[in-house]
Amino acid sequence: MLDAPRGEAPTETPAQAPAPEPAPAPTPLETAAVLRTSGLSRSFGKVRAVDGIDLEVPRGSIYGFLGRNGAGKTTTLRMLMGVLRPDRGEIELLGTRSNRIRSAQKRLIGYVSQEQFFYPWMTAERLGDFVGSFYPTWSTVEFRRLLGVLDVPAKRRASDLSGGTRTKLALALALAHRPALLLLDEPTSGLDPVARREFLEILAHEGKRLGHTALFSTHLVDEVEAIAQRVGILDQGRLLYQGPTASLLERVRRVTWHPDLRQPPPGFRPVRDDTDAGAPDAVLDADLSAWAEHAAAFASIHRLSLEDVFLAMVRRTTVPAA
Amino acid sequence: MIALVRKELREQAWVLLACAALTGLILAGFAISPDYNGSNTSALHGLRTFLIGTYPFLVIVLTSRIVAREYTGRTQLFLETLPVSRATILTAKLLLGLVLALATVLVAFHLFRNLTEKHEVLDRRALGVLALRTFAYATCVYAFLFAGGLLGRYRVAILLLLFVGFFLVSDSSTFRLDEFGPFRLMGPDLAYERGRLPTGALQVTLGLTAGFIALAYALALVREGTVSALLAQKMSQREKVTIACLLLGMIFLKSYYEEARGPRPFELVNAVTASSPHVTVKVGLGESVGVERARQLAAAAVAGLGELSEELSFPTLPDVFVLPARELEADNYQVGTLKGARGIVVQANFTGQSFDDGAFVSWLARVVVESATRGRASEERRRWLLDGFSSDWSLRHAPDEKRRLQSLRAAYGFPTGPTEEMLRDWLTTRERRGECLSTALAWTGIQVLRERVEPQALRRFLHESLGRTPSSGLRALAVRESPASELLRTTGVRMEDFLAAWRARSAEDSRSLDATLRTLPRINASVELAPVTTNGREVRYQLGFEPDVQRLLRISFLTKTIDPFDREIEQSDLAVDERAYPDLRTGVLPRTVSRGERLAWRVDAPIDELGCQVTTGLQRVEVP
Repeated sequence: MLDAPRGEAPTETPAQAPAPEPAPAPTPLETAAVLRTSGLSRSFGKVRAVDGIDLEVPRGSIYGFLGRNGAGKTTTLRMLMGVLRPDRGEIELLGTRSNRIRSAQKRLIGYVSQEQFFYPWMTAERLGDFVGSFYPTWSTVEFRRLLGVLDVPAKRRASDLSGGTRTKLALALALAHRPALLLLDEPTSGLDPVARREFLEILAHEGKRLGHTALFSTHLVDEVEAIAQRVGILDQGRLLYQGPTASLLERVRRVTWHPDLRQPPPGFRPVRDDTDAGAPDAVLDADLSAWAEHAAAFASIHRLSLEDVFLAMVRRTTVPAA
Repeated sequence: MIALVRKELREQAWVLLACAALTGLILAGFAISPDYNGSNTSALHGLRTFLIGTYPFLVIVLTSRIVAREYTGRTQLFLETLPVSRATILTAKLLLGLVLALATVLVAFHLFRNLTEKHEVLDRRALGVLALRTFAYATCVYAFLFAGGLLGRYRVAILLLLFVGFFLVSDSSTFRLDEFGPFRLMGPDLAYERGRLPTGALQVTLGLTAGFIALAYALALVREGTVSALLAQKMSQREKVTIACLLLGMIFLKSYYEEARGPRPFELVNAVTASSPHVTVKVGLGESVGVERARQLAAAAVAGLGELSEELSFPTLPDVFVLPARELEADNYQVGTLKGARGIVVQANFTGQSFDDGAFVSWLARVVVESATRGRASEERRRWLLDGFSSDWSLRHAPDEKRRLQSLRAAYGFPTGPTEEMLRDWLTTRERRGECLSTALAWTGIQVLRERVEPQALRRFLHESLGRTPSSGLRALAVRESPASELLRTTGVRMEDFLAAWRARSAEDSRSLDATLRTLPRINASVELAPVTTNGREVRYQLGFEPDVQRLLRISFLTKTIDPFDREIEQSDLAVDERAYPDLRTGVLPRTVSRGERLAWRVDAPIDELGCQVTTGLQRVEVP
């Protein structure tokens, strides 16, 4: 896993040597984690869906949990939600460590799943009454406000709502009890682009307004770029990176080799172990200081978008130069 | 949990209302049905019919709505994200469904209890037995269907397979479904059995209930509920075809097995055979059995059983094999059992000097009827009829004196004739008055029928009651039969009218035989349990006759310590202690009993004028 240094400053884009900048001190945001996991693992038969991941979601942050289909995102979130029991590892939620999330701890979590399986006969309002009865912190006023903000008809039955509206209703249900942690499992899958954009804007706005901590999984990089301050990249059940999004973009860059130097200098390493040694270029990970010190070692250095970094990390073939 | 229950009630409101309305209609139908409002049949038959015929379907609807629908609609995934455990979700559903199911049974129980108490007395013990049987059965059925609800797409298929499987097994083996666990609790004796709790069946039922509930929790909780979630997915075409093939295959295999197996007739080598279109009798030859004697007995048996077959309209009777048994008394006959073969094997000392062919054939006739009807004819509710018919049939060629003797016995034992309760609880009646007097009473009943009913109609009635094999398998659970309904159907005579005529005949006999009856002694005995140690009690007795008897009598004291629920006590289980009367009018029996035990005792005395033993009837006492 790539370790993100705390609080790296952004740098200029071109491939020339950027000037090194001092790293700022860690913010309180990052030190107070709402959720931590250590060695979280879960297998289904012989398939290791999640393989020893160590997540850390700081208070007040929106954490984008990025991974391809089948990477293990849903399994991880279902373990964090207490729906699945981990085979190994621990979960620390608001300072309470346990090997699984129990019913009482679920009261601290709001959850929006990929698909919404509401009782079709219940109206949004009745669903609110039903779900609210499980949470001591439930606020009917807040729920009604959220229904208004999200434009969900309160009197319409769940079976008569569109997919996007059902997802918004799920968000309202997840937020109305003021959870310490919001878990969203690919909430925008199946939504059209407009509904997706609306959903993300409302999520970002409400998160900011209420200071929610959220972990949302997705395979769409632009969603993470749009609203997440931190990112975790999951591939084949393993966490390849977690840390601030900006920091990732600073650390990971594409280089073109000099004809006489095809080995990365000290402090650099390829983002994938299976990088083709004969290829004219490579995607390397290094500290800011290393990039500054060894800039001349490469023919050219290119900054990458988050999508390119993600592709470089999880794709099986080499990413062509931009 | 309250929120879950409230949600279920709201979700199922219309279905529950529809089920309640349907149940109400069905129960109203029972309430106004003449079948359950007259004194012909106990209204508790209605309770049994409701519990077997209607209740399971109501529970199927209930559990498929409360359980199966949650999984097939995948709304359990929504519930699992709420701060409530799977176990709590399942428990809420289990308890809610159970309360609703048992509430339905409670309403039915109350209704049928009221209907029954219009004509019968249900004491607390009877109500307790009835309630235990009813609610244990109801809970078991509910638990089974609740667990079945978690089998998702396989639930209907498994119900069908179980239904067909049980039917096939009970039809093709000695396994009696109606004798098993919950089915036994809902057996035909539900309406009549008031004193004895079938504890074995109750234990099996409770065990099954616990098993089904454990299965439900296992299905819902194992592997984080993924088992039940996977089972809830829709059935594929391949699965549908497999299950259809499985069902058809079971039926095919059963037919093939029946065809291939079939019980083979019993073979008796070295025997003399006599046959008629109705029956074949083989009498075994032995060292001291001559061919002529065997042929004579075989001919007598074939003739007698032929008459029986015509009287009860049996198409054919099972083959009979008579084996010589010199060690038996001449008037003692025994029935053997045959495994995997057809026929009836009996043993008798038919070469004995005092062997009576007529008495033997009369006894054999009864054995054949019981065997041919697979025990149906000897069920308690129609046992009086079998006793009366057997006696009547054995006396068909007897001189009038023997018939008069039967009348005298009946008048001695039952001066006012029978009551409905006596016939219904015939085993109790026999126990109290003795076999000899009870059989005589039943014989007079047959005479009343002969006087009042056309011979053809009487024959139809006797065939319906004593000459038919019972329904088997699951059908046996649903079919409701009683001598009262059979009498009405075949002869047009209502049971009340028949009983009134019977009592009138008994009263008439008592009047006409009054002078003789006054001279016949009536036994009078009492027992006192006197302490001999802290817990030990000796059994002191007092004997007397009214009018007193001066001649020497061999009085038999029969005793047994019994369990709390023992009802019918076999004659052979009673310890016999013989006393001479009038020498020993009072005395102490050689046995002692302990506090907390129960003692059953009876005194028998031979009365020559009646030609049979009279008895005090079996008395049960708690040892204080």
